Amino acid sequence: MQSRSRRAFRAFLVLAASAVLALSALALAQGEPKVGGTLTVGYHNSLQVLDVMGSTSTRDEVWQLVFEPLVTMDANLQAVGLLAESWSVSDDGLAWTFALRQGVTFHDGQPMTSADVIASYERLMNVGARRSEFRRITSVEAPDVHTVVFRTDAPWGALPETFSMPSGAFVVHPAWVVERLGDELMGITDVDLMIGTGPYFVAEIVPNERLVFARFDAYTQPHGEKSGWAGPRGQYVDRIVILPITDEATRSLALFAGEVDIADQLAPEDVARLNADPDTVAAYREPGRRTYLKMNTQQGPFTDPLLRQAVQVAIDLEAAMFTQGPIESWRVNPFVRYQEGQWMWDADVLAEYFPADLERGRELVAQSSYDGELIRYLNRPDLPDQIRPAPIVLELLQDLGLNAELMVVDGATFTTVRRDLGGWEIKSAGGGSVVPLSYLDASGIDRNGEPWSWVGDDWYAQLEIIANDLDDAHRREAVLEINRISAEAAGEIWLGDLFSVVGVRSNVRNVPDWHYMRLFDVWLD
Amino acid sequence: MGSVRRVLFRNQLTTIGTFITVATLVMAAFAPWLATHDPLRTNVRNRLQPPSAEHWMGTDEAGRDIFSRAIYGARVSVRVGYAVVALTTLFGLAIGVAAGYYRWLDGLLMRSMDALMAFPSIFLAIAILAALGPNETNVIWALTITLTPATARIVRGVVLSLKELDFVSGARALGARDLRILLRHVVPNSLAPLIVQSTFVLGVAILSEAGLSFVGAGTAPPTPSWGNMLADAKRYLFVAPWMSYFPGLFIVFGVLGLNLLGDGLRDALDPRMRGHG
Amino acid sequence: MTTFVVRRLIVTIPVVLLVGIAAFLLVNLTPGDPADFFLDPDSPAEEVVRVRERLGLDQPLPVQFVRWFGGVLRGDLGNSFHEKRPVIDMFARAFPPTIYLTLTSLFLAVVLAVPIGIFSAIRQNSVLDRFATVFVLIGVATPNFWLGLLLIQLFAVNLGWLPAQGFVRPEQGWWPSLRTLILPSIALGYSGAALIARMTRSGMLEVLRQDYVRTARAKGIAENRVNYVHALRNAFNPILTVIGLAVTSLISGSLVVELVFNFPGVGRLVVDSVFRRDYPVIQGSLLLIAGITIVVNLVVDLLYAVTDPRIRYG
Repeated sequence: MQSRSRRAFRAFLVLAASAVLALSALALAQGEPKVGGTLTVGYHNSLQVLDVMGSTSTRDEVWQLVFEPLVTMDANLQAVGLLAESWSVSDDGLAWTFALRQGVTFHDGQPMTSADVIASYERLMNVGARRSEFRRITSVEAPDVHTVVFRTDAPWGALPETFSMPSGAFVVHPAWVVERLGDELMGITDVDLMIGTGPYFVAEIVPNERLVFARFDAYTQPHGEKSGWAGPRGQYVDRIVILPITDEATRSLALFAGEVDIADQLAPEDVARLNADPDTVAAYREPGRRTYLKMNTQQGPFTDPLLRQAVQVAIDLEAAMFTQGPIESWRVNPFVRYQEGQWMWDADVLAEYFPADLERGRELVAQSSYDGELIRYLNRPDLPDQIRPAPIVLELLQDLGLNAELMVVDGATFTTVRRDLGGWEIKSAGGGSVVPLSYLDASGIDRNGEPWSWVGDDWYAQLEIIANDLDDAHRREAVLEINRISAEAAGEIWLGDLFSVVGVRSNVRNVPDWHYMRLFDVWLD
Repeated sequence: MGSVRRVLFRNQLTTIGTFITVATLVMAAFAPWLATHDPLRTNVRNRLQPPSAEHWMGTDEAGRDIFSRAIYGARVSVRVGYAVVALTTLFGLAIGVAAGYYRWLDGLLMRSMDALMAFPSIFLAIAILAALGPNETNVIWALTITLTPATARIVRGVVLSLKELDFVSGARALGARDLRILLRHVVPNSLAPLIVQSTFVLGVAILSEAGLSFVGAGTAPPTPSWGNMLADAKRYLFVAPWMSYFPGLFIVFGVLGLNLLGDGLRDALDPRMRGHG
Repeated sequence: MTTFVVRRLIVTIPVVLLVGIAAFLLVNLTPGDPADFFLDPDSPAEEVVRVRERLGLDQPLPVQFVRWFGGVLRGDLGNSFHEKRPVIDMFARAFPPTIYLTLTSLFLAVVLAVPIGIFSAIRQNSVLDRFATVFVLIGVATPNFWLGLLLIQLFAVNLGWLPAQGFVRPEQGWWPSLRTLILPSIALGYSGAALIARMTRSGMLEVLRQDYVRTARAKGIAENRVNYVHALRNAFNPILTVIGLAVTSLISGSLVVELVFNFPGVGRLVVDSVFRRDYPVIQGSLLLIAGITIVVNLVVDLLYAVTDPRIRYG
C-alpha cells in the first residue's frame, strides 16, 4: 500500500514535468510583439466587485490591470516592489521604510505620492477585508513625498509578504478617491472612482456582461525581471474585454466558436479536443487550485485523533483526485500549505502518513471511541472542485464503517453551517495554490482569535518562526515542520493540486505560463 | 370510419401511456433488482466510459454506472411526483372547497392563491428552496406550494357549479349538514377533473424536479435524480455526450407516458371532452 | 369596461402586498449571511458585525420590512448589496434579454403551433394530425434545458452554425442579436408550441362541431371560409387563454434556459442573487416579476372582452 502511494508521488513528479512541457507549447513561437487589437476573455468569475481592498471576492487577473500595490509577488511568491522602488527594515526590526517609485501617475493624470499611500493605508484599516492581518502595524508616516515608513510593535518578517497579498490587497488609491468613498465600498459601476496606476484603465463596465479596459498611455513600467506579478507589463492590446461566463462548459463553447480569445478554468476533459482543433490551444497551469478535507476537531466524533487518523490512513488520495479529471490535470499533494518554489518541498516527507490502507483504518476506528454517531459530510455544489471528490470520500467513510451522510447546501448556507461547530463533522474545502506566506500566519486561529486546540503548541512555535524570523532558511525549515505536525494531528487532509486549464485561440500570443494570466502581456497575431 | 381509426389510435396511445407509467413505477419499486450496479459505487479509474456490454449507458465522472443511476433516478421522480400529487390534491381540495363553499373565505383564499400564481413557478420554487435548503422533501414542499393554486381553482370551479345545481340546493333546503353535502356531492363530483389534473401535476412535478436539480436547487447528491445527472453531464458534453442523452430520454418518456395516460383518462372520465385534446 | 379594469386593479393591491411580505420573509428566513460574501470565511466575528451594520441588517426585521416596503411604495426598490446600484436599474438591464427571449419563443410557438393546431383539427385523423399529436406529446414532455443542451451540441458544437452562449443586444446589431436568440428560443418555445397547438386543435374542433358552423356549411358557404372565418374567430378565445398561460410558463422556463445559454436575463439575475443572498435584488425582482405576471393576466382578460362580444364585464 505504501509503495503504491509512493508511486503516486513519483508519478506526479513525472506529470509535473510533462505539464511544464505542455505549457512551453503555449510560449513557443511567440514572434515579435504586435500592438493593437481587442482581446476578449471568457472569465470564470461573475466579477461583481472591483474594490480589491474592501472585498476578498475580486480576482487578481482583473484588478491587477487597474490597481497596483506597493509590493507584489513573483512566480516564487517572493515579495517584489511594484509601486515601491525598494524597502529596508531598521536594525531593531520595528520600522520599515518604503521608497516609492517616482514618476508614477494615476489614471486621472495626477502623480502618485506618499500622501496617497497613507490615505490608502487608512482606508485599508477602515474597510479592508483583511485589515486584521495588518494589526501589527502601529503607525505610518511620510518623511517626504516619495517615502513612507510603517512601524510595528514587534519584529514582523512577514510584512512585505503581507503587503503583496493579492486578496484584499493593499493597493494605492488617489487620496481624493479615499476621501470620496469614506466608509463605503466601491460599487461595480463606480467607474469614475476606479482610478489606479495600472497598465489599463476602466473604460466601461456593464455588470454581469462585460468589463472593458483600455491601455493607459501614461503608464510607467516597473523595473526588474518579469516573474509572477512582478516586472514590466506589456500593454500590447488596445482594449481588453472581459466577459463573465460562469459556466465551465459554456466557456469552452465560446472559445470553440471564436466568441472569446482566451477562456480560463476550463474542464480538463476539454483539453484534448481543444488541442485537436487547429484554431484553439489549451494548456495546464500549475499549481492551480487545491482541495482538502477538514474534520471538526472541536466537537463530535472527530475530536478523537484516532478516528481522524483512521480516515487519513485509509484515504486513497489518488482516487479522490481522479474525480477531478484526466490524470494529466492534477497531482496528489498532501502538503498542508503548499509553497513550492518559495519553500523546500519534499514529497516523501508526508508519504508515510497516507498509505491508503483501509484495513489499518478500520483497526483505528475500532480502537477509537467512535460509537456509530452520525458523520455529516458538508459540501457545497457551487465550487465543483470541492464537491467532485465527495462520492469517493463518502464511500471511504462508509467503508470504514462510519455512519456517514453527504450534506449538500448552497454556498451561503455552507458558510453559515460551517461556523456552527455542532452542524457538521467533516467538510470539503479548497483554495488557491499560490498562497503567500502570510496565510500561514493567519491559519491556526479560528475566527474569534482562539488558537486551534488540535495542533499543539509546537505548531505555534513554528508559526512564530515563519512569521517573525528574519532569516529565510529558518523559516523554510519551520514550514516543513508545520506540515509534519499537521499530518500528525490529522485534522486536515490535503488531497492535491488541480491544475487550471487555460484555452486560447491560436492567434493569441504570450500568455505567460504562470498560474495567473497576465492579461496585460498578451498580444494578438 | 376516420373516427374509429382515431379512437383506436387514441387507445393505442393510452395503452402506451399506461405501459410507460406502470414501467416507471416498476422501475422505481424494483430498482435494486433491475439495476446492474450499485448506483453509488464509484470506480474512478473507469470514469467517463462510453456505453458497453458492462455499462449499458456508460459511466459518469466518478465511474458510476449510468444505467443503474437512471433506474434509481426513477425513484426520486416517482416519490416527488406522487407526493406532490397527494399533497396538492389534499390542499387543493381543502382550499378549493372552502373557497367555493364559504363565500366569506373566498376572497382571502383566492387572493392568496393569486399571489402564489403571480410568481412564475420555478422562481418561487428556487426562492423557497434557498430558504429551506435543497433536498427531496423540500423539493416536494416547494412544488406543492407552487402547484396547489391550480388544483384549488379547479375544485372551487366544481364547487361553484354544483352549488347552482338543484340537488345541492335541494339537499341544503332539506337541512343536510355542510360536511355531508361535501362528502356526498362535492368530493365525488370533483374526482374526475382531479384525476385528470393529477396526471398533469405529476408530469409538471417530474419536469420541475429535474429542472431544479439541474440548477443545483433540487435533489442533492449522492442520490441520483434525472435532473442532477443532467447537471453533472453538462461539463462533459464533448467527451461523454451519453451522460446527457440517457437521463434526458428517461424524463421525456416518463412524462410522455403520464400525458398519454392523462389524455386517455380525460376521455374516459369526462364525456364532454371525448375526442378532443 | 373601465370599472372592470379599476376593480381588477384594486383587487391586485392585496395580492401585491402579499407578494411583498412573502418575498421579504422568504429572503430573510433563508439561512446564509449576506455579509459573508464580503469577507473571507475566517474573518473575525467583529468584521461580520461591521458589514451587517453597513448593509442595514442589524435592524429588527419589522423595521427592515417597513423601510423596504415604504421604499417600494415610493417606487424605490433599494440598492443591491453587491453592485451597490439601484435594483430597478439592474432589473431594467436584465429584463430586455428575458423579454426578447420570451417574445421570440412565443412568436416561434404561435407561428408554428396555431397552423398545426388548425390543420390538424380540420384534417382530423389525417397523417398530419397524428404527426401533430406526436409533436405535441413530445414537446410537453421534453425538459427545455435538456433540449437546450442537445441544440448546443448539434448546432454550436458539431455544426458551428450558431453561438452557443450569451446574448448580443439588438443595439449592437440585429442579426448578431437574433443569432444569439435562435437556439434558446427553440429550447424555450417548443413546450409552449406544444401547448398552444393542443389548445388550438381542441378549440377548433369544439367550434367546428357547433351548430352555426353546420348552418353555414348548409348554406353553401365555401368550406375554407367556414373554417377560417367562423371557426377561427370563435376558437380565438381559448387560444388566447393558452397564449396568456404560455407567457407565464415561458417567463418561468426562461430561468433555466437562461442558465443553460449564459443569458444575462432576469432568471440569471434572480438565481445569482439568491446564491449571493443579495436581499434587495431578490425581493425587488420577485415583486416585479409578480407585477408583470399580474399585468399579463389582466391584458389577456381584457383581450377576451375585445375578441368575444359575448363577454361583458360589469
